[in-house]
Amino acid sequence: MILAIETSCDDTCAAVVTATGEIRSNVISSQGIHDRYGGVVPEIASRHHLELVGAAVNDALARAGVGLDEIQLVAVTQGPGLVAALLVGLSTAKAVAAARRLPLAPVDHLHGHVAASFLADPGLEPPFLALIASGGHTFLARVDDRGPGYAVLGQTLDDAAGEAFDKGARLLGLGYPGGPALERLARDGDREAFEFPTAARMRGLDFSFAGLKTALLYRVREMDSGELQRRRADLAASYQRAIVEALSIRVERALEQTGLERLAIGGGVAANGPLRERLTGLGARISVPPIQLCTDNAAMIAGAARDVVPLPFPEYLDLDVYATGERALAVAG
Amino acid sequence: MRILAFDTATRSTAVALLDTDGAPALELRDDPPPGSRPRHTALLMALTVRALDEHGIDWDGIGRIGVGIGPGTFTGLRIGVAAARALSAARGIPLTGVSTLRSLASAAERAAGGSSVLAVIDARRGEAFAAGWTAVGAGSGAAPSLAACALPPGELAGRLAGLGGDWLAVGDGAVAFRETLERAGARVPADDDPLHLVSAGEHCRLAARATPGRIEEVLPDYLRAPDARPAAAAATAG
Amino acid sequence: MRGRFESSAAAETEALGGLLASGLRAGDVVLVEGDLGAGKTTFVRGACRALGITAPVTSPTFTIGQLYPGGRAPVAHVDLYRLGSLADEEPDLLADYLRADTVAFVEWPSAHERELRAIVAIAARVRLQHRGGDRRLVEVS
Repeated sequence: MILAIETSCDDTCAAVVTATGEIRSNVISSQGIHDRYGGVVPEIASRHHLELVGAAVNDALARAGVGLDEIQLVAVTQGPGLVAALLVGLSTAKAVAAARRLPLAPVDHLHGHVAASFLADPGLEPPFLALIASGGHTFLARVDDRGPGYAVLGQTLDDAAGEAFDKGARLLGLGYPGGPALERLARDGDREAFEFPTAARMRGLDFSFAGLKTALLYRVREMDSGELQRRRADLAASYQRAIVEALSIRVERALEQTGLERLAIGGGVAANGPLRERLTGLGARISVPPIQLCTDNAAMIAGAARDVVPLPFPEYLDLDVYATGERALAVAG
Repeated sequence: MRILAFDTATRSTAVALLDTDGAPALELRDDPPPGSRPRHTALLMALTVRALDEHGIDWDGIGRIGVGIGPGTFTGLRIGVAAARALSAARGIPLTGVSTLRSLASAAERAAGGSSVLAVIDARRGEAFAAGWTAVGAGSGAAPSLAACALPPGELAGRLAGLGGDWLAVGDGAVAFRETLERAGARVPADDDPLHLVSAGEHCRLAARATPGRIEEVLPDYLRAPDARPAAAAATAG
Repeated sequence: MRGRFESSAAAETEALGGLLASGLRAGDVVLVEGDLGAGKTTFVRGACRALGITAPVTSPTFTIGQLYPGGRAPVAHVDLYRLGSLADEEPDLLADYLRADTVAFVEWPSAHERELRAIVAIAARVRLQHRGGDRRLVEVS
């Protein structure tokens, strides 16, 4: 039985997953306090993590119906993410593991997003193509085994897809997080109303969302407030379509280039309805995890821990966190 | 009863084990020089486990945990408090928070010779976290005569003058703001005097006299509230 | 490098970044201002290339900062977009990035300038403005 803790951004998460990948509990404690700031404030997020993490762990154990005695491995997100936020999870995990002299598995958050697919779809076997798109990361990877050594085939050259959603939402006067708010508004809009760039001419498998963001800015700027109010839903729908297309075009290319027949998606953006729909229509066999396994969660960290070499007690006591994804991408070389 | 205490509010990482029936506290610590980064993450749990090993005991041998709740560096405080709360919950060991300022003052009382004691922690950005106690007040649990506050050193000096009396000032903030405090009449020991370092052994002694409460109530005393405004939102609207 | 420059493409904005970078030394901090999509990250990417960084230079909004090792000096790329006030954050929040051995670029600095000036000296300030389409006005002071 694996106990996992994830505090890389603004959700305080704990989960219990069995060694065979059965999710016994998956607790997500959303802070829900960052909306008015238009983003995550690291100090506020970190303070809330400290207040919530103990209860999240207790809750995860209680819902799983197990005690700490039945936990054989503690897993925790080591990075990438906000350093101060990650440290709350890591300090907690180290202390829980040391208190029980258990081994500890440090997990890369992005490996967690890939591993979520194995939890959601037990029949999923490598090799497959993975699209991971979130607020901080967007990349395509070829997954040949379950470990963290997946090969990155393409990644964003500027903004992450989730960041494009957030910043677009802000330009349209919507709250944070931008993805769900923009998706809701887009339902009432015409996605063909405006033509936004998808960087389709850009060859290869890398992504770029900076031009799209600028295009929306120009559209918003040239409207007076009355027109903006009337066309907001159309702008949202067209903007969302461009993001969905930009992602889908490269997924299609990657499937063609690699000859892979299976696709798995993950990350907060993978919760987007139109994206799920569009990718499902590509013809590849697709694994679409439920939304609570796409957005940040600890079950995926426990899932990934099954394929990480754990550090036995006391080898992890001096472990530190890392902020950026270089480590994960370096593995892929 | 054996008490485990640690503090990560300042640059130092300090861990101590105290047997209230006998020997003096065993203290393991790391004190990086001014200007260098603290090593709380790397050392806190490693020193804690080493302290247990040197005593030849396991967690079951610990009757209480005391953790420094600051004020001090936000990230450091969270590393210490998160570890303390998790250890306490995982082993069922009663937990109590210890004010890092009170502990500094309490440890300095014997050297104060009847003076009041001012504990000062460098709060960065030109400010000090400080609290003051009249003679033998901090260790006995008395309320501070100068309540914990975050102030620029000049204002702190003004508060001391208003309170009057002799003051002994200790802590890394007393070293950082030595000139201002000395001008206000406070006595500040030499820079390398151990009184300026937070003592986890002193935390043990204060924790021994405290009454542990609920784990959830043990949280850092930040003394500064983040009051973020949506600055970027204002900059990009329209 | 000081003055006003016209850029008509992302590649030109990158080149201007490279031009500025050629005069930078370890310890320098450059503030990079401009609206969403004005080309701040593009400018920083050009500077990174000139400093010998080959890794992808992407938006650091999510983690506040990116650190690119290697090159003539490690480059720190900081983005304060998400922060309310730097004064409310841990004083060491940027200590991993604004170091004596890094060349640092700070996006969205305007709301935090007083706090930034208290911890570092500003070597240059770059202002990017939209001029329609791909054109930008780039002011370096």
